[in-house]
Amino acid sequence: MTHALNLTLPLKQDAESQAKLKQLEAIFTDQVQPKIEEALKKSKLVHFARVVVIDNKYIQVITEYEGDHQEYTEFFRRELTPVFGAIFGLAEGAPSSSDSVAFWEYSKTNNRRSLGQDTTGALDFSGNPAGWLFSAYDHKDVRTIQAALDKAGA
Amino acid sequence: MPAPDPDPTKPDRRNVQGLVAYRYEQPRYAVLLFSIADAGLARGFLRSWLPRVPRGDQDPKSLTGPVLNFAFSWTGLSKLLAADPALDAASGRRELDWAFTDQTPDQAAVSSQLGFIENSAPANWWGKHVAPADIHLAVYMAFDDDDQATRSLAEIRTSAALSGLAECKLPEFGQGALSGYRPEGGFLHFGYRDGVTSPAIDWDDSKQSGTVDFREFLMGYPNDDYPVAPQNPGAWRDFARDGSFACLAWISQDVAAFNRFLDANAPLATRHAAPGFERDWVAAKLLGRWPDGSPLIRHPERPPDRPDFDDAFGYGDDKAGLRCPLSSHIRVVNLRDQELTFVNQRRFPGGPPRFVRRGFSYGPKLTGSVDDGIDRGVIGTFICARVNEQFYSVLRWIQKTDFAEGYFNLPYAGSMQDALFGNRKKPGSSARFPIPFESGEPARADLVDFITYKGVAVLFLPSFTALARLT
Repeated sequence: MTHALNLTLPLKQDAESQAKLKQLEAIFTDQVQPKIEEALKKSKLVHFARVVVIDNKYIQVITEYEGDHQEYTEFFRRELTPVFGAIFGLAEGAPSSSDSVAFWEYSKTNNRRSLGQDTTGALDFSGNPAGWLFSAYDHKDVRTIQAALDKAGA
Repeated sequence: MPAPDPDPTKPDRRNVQGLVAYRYEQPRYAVLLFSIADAGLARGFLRSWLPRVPRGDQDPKSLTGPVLNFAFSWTGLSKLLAADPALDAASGRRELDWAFTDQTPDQAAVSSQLGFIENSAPANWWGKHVAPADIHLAVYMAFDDDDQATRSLAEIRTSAALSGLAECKLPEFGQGALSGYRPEGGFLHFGYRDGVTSPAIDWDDSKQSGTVDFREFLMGYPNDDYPVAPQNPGAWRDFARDGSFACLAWISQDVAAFNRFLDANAPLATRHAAPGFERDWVAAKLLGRWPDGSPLIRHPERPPDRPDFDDAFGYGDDKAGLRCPLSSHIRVVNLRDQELTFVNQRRFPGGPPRFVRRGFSYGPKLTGSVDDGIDRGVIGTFICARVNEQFYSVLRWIQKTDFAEGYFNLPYAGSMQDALFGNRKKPGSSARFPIPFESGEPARADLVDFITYKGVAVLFLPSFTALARLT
């Protein structure tokens, strides 16, 4: 079952933090993006991922991934500790990304629910019905899709 | 001569409750569940019975009953610590494992993913007499005999009532509480010998081969490989140090259904099992061990003349499950050398999750395939240091075998289940149980529900240092 992460963090507005945001934007393509891409590719769990900055006021980490929210949080925290460290360092009230309990709580608190209601019975981080998530391929998992593509010679 | 200062980098077995360190030898057991009404009175109760709690460095052979252990839910702990300003609940929620303070097994956020649905749903737990939130304190007891059990239970219940503890009674059991016995020869209701495998805890941090890091079972010593909560230095980590989580599970076993399954599928063993062992061969394929405890990986066609308890085996030369099917119970709950998926390799750099298992059987023995309407099963206690990463992870893997690479190769699939413990109603999972052979098509059995969870609780099993603060 595919789940959505709509992690939406308020950015610190002081000059130093905003300058760090500019630095992150500047190095993202060459230094951050490859690290995320490598980890997610190996995970065979994540369909899509992106990081979005909105008017320098919010930063979003948005992904569509498989597995229960609670199951793989530790993988993402461990594998992408420097990335989350850099992002959390810009956000209001963010904990150290090395603290697994705080990381979970902060992720849970700041995951924004999409509108509508999921049609597959998926739950959000707190056990409430998840928001709507459209899937063009009936929520087939990454491995199944990759295997089908391999078989088709794509 | 004064006692040496404790080593802050390693656990002191004297500070650990005996239940973590060794299996009791007593033949009778009970777990009493209580709600705490008055923290002060409850502390008095704990103080009066504390001398019956053995320490981890004691010899279990020297223990005489009643032997006690105390474990607490987050609500129970919060009540007892309400007047302790250094251990306030708000900071406790920030520091302790969230699967203990918040997303406990009865909560919707996790219950369905752990297989607690349909008959195993939390709404049906504890005989519907007890709300999970009302369980504050569990008293795990071991007795020398039935008479002692009866006397001691009466005594401790009187003491508890005088201390404002309301018992969460379970009339399904003759003793009115989770209670039972150490089964004869270690054979549980499905006919398998239990207790063959138990992790050797590396108490000294020696990293010796064949041992398991103590951080897998004890809080207070987090490192990069074992980021055990509380991770931040301070009062809560000091309080939790040398403590564990005791994940208590009331597991009902449907022996009649199990026996019917063996009878129906015994013909699959033809030409594969030694003559006369067909039914046991099916049972062995489900568990990964023959009923006598001998591992299927070493004895694929019949059990040895004498049980083989040598636990030093892996699955490296049976990656396809030709001898021991991948979804057999012991390959799911104790992975040994199987290759984890990439994400799980990263999650578990110290190795796949392990538990210290304690437990006892309840209910009369049943032979045959006709149910007698009497409940029977096991009361299991799974001791670990990280609830979500250990207890919850293995429960998820029981429901869906997508944790290791081998399961994605035909005739297996990541959507299969533990052959014995899977909940066949779990959406997205398959009850198909393939049994592959060296040549020819795999045999296939369709699994049914063999067990039902009738109650699960995540409890904190404190150290003696912490118990001193709670009494």
